[in-house]
Amino acid sequence: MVALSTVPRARARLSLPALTLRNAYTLVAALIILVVLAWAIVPGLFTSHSPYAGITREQFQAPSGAHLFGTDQFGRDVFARVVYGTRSAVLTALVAVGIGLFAGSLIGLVAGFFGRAVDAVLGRLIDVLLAIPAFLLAVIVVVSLGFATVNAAIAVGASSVAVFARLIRSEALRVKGLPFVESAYLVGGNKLQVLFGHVLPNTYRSVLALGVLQFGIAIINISALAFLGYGSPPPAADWGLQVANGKDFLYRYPWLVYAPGIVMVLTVLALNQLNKSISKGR
Amino acid sequence: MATVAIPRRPRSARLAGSYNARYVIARIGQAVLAVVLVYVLIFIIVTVLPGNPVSARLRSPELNYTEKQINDLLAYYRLDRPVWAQLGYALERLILHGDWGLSLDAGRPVTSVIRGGIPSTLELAGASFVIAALLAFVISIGAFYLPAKLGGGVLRTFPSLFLSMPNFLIGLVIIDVFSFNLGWFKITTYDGLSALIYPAVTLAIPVSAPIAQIFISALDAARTEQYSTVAISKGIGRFTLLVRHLLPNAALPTLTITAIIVGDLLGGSMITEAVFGRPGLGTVIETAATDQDVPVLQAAVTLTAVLFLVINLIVDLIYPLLDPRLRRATAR
Amino acid sequence: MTFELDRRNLFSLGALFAGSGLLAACAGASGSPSQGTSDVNAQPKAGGEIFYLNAFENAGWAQSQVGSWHALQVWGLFAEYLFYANSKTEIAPHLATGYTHNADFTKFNIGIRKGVTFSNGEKLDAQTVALNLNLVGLGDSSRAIPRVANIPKVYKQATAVSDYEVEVALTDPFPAFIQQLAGSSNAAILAPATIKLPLAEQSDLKNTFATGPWVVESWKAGKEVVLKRRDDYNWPRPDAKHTGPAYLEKITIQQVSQNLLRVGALESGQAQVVHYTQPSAESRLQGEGFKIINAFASGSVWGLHIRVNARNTQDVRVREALNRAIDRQEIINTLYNSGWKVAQGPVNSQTPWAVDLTEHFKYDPARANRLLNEAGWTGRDKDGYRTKDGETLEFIEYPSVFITTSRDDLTLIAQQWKKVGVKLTLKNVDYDNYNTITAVTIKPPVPLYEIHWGADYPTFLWRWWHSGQQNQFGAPDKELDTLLEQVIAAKTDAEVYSLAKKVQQFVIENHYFIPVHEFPQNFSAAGNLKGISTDGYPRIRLYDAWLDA
Repeated sequence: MVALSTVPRARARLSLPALTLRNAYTLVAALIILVVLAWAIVPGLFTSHSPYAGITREQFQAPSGAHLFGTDQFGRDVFARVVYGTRSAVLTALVAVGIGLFAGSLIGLVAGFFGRAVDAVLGRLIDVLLAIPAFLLAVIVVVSLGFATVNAAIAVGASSVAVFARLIRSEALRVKGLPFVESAYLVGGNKLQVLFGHVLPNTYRSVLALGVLQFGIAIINISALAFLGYGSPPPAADWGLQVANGKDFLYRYPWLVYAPGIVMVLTVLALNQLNKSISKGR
Repeated sequence: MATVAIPRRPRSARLAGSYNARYVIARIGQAVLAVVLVYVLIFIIVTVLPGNPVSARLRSPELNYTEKQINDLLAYYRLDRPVWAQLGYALERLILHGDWGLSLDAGRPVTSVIRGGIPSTLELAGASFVIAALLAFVISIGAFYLPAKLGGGVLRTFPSLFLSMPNFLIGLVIIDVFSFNLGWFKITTYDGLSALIYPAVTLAIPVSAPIAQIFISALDAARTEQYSTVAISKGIGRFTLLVRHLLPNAALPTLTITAIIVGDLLGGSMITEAVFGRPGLGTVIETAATDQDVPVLQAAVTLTAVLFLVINLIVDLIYPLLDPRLRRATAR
Repeated sequence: MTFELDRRNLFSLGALFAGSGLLAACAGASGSPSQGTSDVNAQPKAGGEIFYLNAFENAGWAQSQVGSWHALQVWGLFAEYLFYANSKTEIAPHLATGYTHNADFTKFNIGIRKGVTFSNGEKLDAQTVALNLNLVGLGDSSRAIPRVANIPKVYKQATAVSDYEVEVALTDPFPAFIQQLAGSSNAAILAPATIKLPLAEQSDLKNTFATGPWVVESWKAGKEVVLKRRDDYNWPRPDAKHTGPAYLEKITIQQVSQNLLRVGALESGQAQVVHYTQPSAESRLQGEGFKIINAFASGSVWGLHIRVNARNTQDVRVREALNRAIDRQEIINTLYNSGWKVAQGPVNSQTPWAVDLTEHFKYDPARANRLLNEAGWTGRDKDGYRTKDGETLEFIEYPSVFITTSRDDLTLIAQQWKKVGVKLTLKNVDYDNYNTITAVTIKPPVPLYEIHWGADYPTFLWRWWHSGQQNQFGAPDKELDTLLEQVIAAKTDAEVYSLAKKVQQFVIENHYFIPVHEFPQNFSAAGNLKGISTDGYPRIRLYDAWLDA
């Protein structure tokens, strides 16, 4: 039978191109993220149109050289709105991940490091938060806070606390058992020193990978909240809001939905690829 | 929405050796406690803001109610009491009488409001679950067997791609393509396969991503395990290897994220229902959230949490029975 | 004491324009002849089933919950009222036969139609009407049933004085009582078996028994209501084109919240009537042979109150500049279509006491710029907005949570104001906090507040604008208050109308109000659905409707 020899050899043959392919993906992903970041930081360099000022007699123009992504019902340039919308997408996702990371780290580290009763209590809290579908939790939080993109970001951040906490708790448990941590105690380190000097730095890689992944998820969830009307009001340049406003015209002017939609998908896809590259790098 | 696809080692796996009645009861107790905490948590989140929907509505300038009329109506819903008294009352009502209260918006019992949304959402989530599993299976097997040149590598990127697509966007694209351009789409039919299939696919696509991710890595891992090598050396065919050894072993880690998948389905159903105008539990929750209809919100979210916890519990309890390694460990 | 029921009295008192300032939604009667055509040549055929798509459907259907535009359209198909306003907005009796009142308007005697039964078999008589009116007028706080806000607070009690006559007593005179009653969409007459139930059970449509041409066959909360024809029905309104049962056998009302899908369903023949068509889709539908019904309500246009107690709104030059900087025709051209109209004053042009004040707020950016310069707003910030002493000329507005078009309207107005250097910032608020956050009493005051309310009678102006009432302009104006007091004190319609016109003129000349465009209720219907029309509120009328094969 061929089976015995085929499997390992096939893998050996494939490993090189597969590796290159993965690098290529990573490279493209990094490029996309760079462009997105550039759009977010200096949008004015990429478009001469204003995202807010429209010329109504130029409404609903199809994509063309003058308007790369066409125009919307107010005669505003859709490309300009997508580019300017990047800032809000990136900033709000950062806020969301920041909140999830901060609160999650705190809960996770404390639970994992101190163990016993503390772990039992915090573990219950994590369980409770995990038991509520993240998006539902985000909706409830944003409704309580009031409708605005910042609040949507906070809500999405709050809904990801449990995911971060769970990871960091298990990482803390893992690191705590490592020999060098035990030796740190031996040389006279107290609990806090060990926590911040040894446990925290050793969890960064998996936390970074999760952070990048959550960044993409935050972009999707914040835009989903905006789509449902829980984000900022018009005329904000915001991807989710753009799709929501464009949907009523989908039948005749599909670019109003597709242009911001594709940019959003590409951005999140690039983030997911980076997450993979970071995790695999371990 | 899709959450992280990190397979969770079920707690019971660690405890497989001491798998007994006391453990089961403790786990059930924890789940019940979690349900009560969810109920309380939702109440706290929603009542953080001052004011309540009833008084906001009653104070509308168009209504022109007097303070006395407003207060009488508030008293009926016990909204004139302090927040903690309201919570205590709600808990007492629920635990002692199994009564979820009255919807502040619809004026009907919470249970009947929610019951109206359940069948449609279960149908949607169930269909999506099947589609997502099939989709994940096809992608995983393709990614596992197809050489990179023939698309195996590309297939491996599908989970990432699916994870990157917002539900509402998939829904709109499906409506655009299948309804507007191909004309296959029925909107006024709530029953039947055609009304179900498009929203179900919309919901299934992002949900299939974590399943496929775990399945692919589990397949990869299973291939390198000892029993695979042994099986191959015994000269069994690829197909037999897949069906007899790889699939059962890859299915196990996938099982551990079932509860997360169900959570994603329920969260995603809200957006899918909004896009397709398909009323269900998601719509009930959305309406309740915007109307700050606390009793309905509490009940609906608690229900999803119960579902999540029950599935988690079941998975945790049956996992050691299914895993051959743990089974062996238990037997020893 | 008996009163001769005198129909002349009824009609002399008005071309009485009844209607409602419905719940927070918006409301009113329509003066426009309905655009739904009565098809002269074709012969109506009985039978058939239609689908009616609603943007929103109630989860609970107690009568107090049917104030929204969506709900009252459905409610009006199976529930009927004592009085109604026809498509010319004239008030007429339906379940009533007429009414009389005493000299000081504190007692109204209403005659009740004979031979009417509820769908559960109960009989309509004075007793049942009195029961209904008392619940509507007083509410029942022990069952959490609120009184109907539109019924004047002076309502005291209704009693049956004979089998078919009800006497309503008021604590204080209120000449327009019947008009207010007729305009209240949640004052339909229901069977005693229904209204005696607790709120939770009244909210369930299977307990709703009324007198309409259709009855509820089944319903699913937030999803659909299925109506079937009542075969023993024989008491249509006087304006109906036929008698006996309705033609349509079955009406299925479904919630399809996405605008896109409602229109799509109509186009593909899956639905026959659609409520709230997007303005942008209307012209396309018209081209494809669908009927578009834009029924304008009697009452306020879609416009903005300027709260004079807010920052930078005290200067009339600034207020006039805001008014003059809006190109209303551009709004219609960009966001709407030829079926929509620019505003000519604070109320719709069909309103009998409307007055054309266009000259005072016609688009004139040059004048707006000059006025703002004169007012001292001469500086410019980096975005080009006007400043004075370092402060940007900015106004905040919360788009109405009740109508879907106001965000687009305001987005475009923001674009237009930008051209004269005024910044309009929109903020989001959820459904429940909207009323609180935009209340006149809130500090600091919001500078702009949307209106799109019905007003069936000029007394509504008093209610909105008098400083002792809602005080929507935020600051007492003695002259305006005096005018409004004269409106409610006036005895004859002619007098009331002429004073109402003066009020509008005052409000516009002082630029307290920014009228933008008239606001219709709109429906689209399949070409083969004949005989569909709207009445004076406007509510859709399907009693005469039939399906042409």
